[in-house]
Amino acid sequence: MSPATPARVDCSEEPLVDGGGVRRRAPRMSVWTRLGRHTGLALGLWAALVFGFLFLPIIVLVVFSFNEQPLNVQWTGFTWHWYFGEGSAGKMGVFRDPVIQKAFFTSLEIAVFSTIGGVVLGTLGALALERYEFRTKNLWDGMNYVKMVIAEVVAGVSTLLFFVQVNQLMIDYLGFNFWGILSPGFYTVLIAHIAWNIPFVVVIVRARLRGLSRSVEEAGADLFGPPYIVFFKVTLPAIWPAIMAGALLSFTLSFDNFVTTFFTAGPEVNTLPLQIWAMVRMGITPEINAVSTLMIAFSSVIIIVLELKARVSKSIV
Amino acid sequence: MALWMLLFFAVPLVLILVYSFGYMGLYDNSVQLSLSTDEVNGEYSVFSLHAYRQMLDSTYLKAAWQTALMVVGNTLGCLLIGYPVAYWISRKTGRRKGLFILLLMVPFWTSFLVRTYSWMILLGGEGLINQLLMGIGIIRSPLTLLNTFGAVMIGLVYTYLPFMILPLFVSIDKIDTSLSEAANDLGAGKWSTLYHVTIPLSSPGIAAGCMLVAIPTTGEFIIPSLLGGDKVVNWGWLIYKSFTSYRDWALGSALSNVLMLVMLVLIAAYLWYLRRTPA
Repeated sequence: MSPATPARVDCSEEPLVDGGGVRRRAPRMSVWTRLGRHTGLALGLWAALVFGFLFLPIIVLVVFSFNEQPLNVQWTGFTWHWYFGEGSAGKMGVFRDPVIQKAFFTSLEIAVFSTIGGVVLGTLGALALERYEFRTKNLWDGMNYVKMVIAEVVAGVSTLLFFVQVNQLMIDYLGFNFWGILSPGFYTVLIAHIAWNIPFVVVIVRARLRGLSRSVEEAGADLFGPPYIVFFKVTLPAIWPAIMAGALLSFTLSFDNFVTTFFTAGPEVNTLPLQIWAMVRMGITPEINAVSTLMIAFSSVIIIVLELKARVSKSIV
Repeated sequence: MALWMLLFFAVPLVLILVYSFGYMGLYDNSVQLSLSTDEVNGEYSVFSLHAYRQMLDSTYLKAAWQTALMVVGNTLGCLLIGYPVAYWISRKTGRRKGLFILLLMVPFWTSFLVRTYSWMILLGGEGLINQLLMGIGIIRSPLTLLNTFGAVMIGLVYTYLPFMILPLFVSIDKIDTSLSEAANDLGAGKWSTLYHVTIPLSSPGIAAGCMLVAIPTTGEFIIPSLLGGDKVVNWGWLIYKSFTSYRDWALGSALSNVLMLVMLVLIAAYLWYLRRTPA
């Protein structure tokens, strides 16, 4: 797509049309020129197509979650079965399926704890990186960014190897593996998720800290506030919105995380994404549609509540 | 924070480096490090390149080629599809702009696995796309869409498109509209303005978007696994398989290291770009 030629054509024509004020029909118009005339329309159409592309799979999921026929092929009639219906494994509704419910609560638990861990450590890290100078600063900084961008599969498998190795070392040399805390299971998933969340919190909180003038903190210190009071009364409230944004992002990432969980979880830990993976691999079942519809509804409700809350607090101020 | 990241991110990365020089255990899935144990294929070695030697096989070379195709195709595809959309959104005003950005985020609200799975429904032999095409009368018998390279590409572009559009939008939105008006006043047409003003000024967004798409694509294994039906083999998929089915952790580590190297090269290229262009 080289716009060089049409550009030259355009140069001579556009001023005539715009500058002259009178609309004149140009003698010969290339496709590009024509497209240039109707950019608004063409762009709008294109954007509509792309949004359609982005939404099509989601709409299909929601629609088929209410479909009677279990094959996800043809619409045969409306049913609530995949939500509330009873039946054997794979043929029952989400709200009746103990496996899915257990997986949901495991996911929730891991998401909550890893968010707390990630936010506390990430905020401390952001403070250290933004407010202090130390020799290995660049190293930590780089590590954070690398962790954020590298393909998750590498981080996942390396963490798995690490846990297995350390567990073995503890048994070999200490004769004691701390109640299997590092053998693949709940705690390993939690640890890996916290490590996964930290960089995102660091980036968000740091951006906010950079915008916060140091003079505010210095003013607090000048008024004889001891450092910890200054931190809790000045710094923390100022960066609170960023901390909350980081927490929200961490929660979402952790709840939806598949790759890291997949490699660090033992057989007894089953999160919702792991369960969905198992179900998808087994074949197509409408129960997955129902689960995902619920997930979309859940996230939409959260977003709407946050939006309304923001609006209310804005109107109060 | 530092300690946590060091322990649970940096140390594991060093560990896979070590593991990749080991070889697969005979009786279990543990990796025997050749530093501490005896034989590999009858020969003693301290520093085994066994896993790397395995990678010279044609299967792995083909996977490398497929991965390169996926990365380039996905990045270019997202860029060409996403740029007009980002441009279009940036020309909207006020609340509408926010609304369309929010709409772009909607796919993130549902599990990434589920969205990929939805393409399985759409592309299947009796899936909606085949039904539609047959309904119109373009084709008589269903096309094989699923489990092909094309299906994987659709899944990749679908998944990574928002990651491209968002940074593009941010950088296009920052451009002062008076600049393109000035270009117009100076006689530049729309395409000329786009080529000489808008695209160069939005290049930070282009670079960031390409990074966000290209790097994770190198290690993608879920999309090839679900939409390629284990028939489309790429690098990430090989890592996944060597840790799950093949149980060859040394090979998996070696594969991961190669991937890590490629990603570091990409990151270095990006950093070089950032340094070259002042703010």
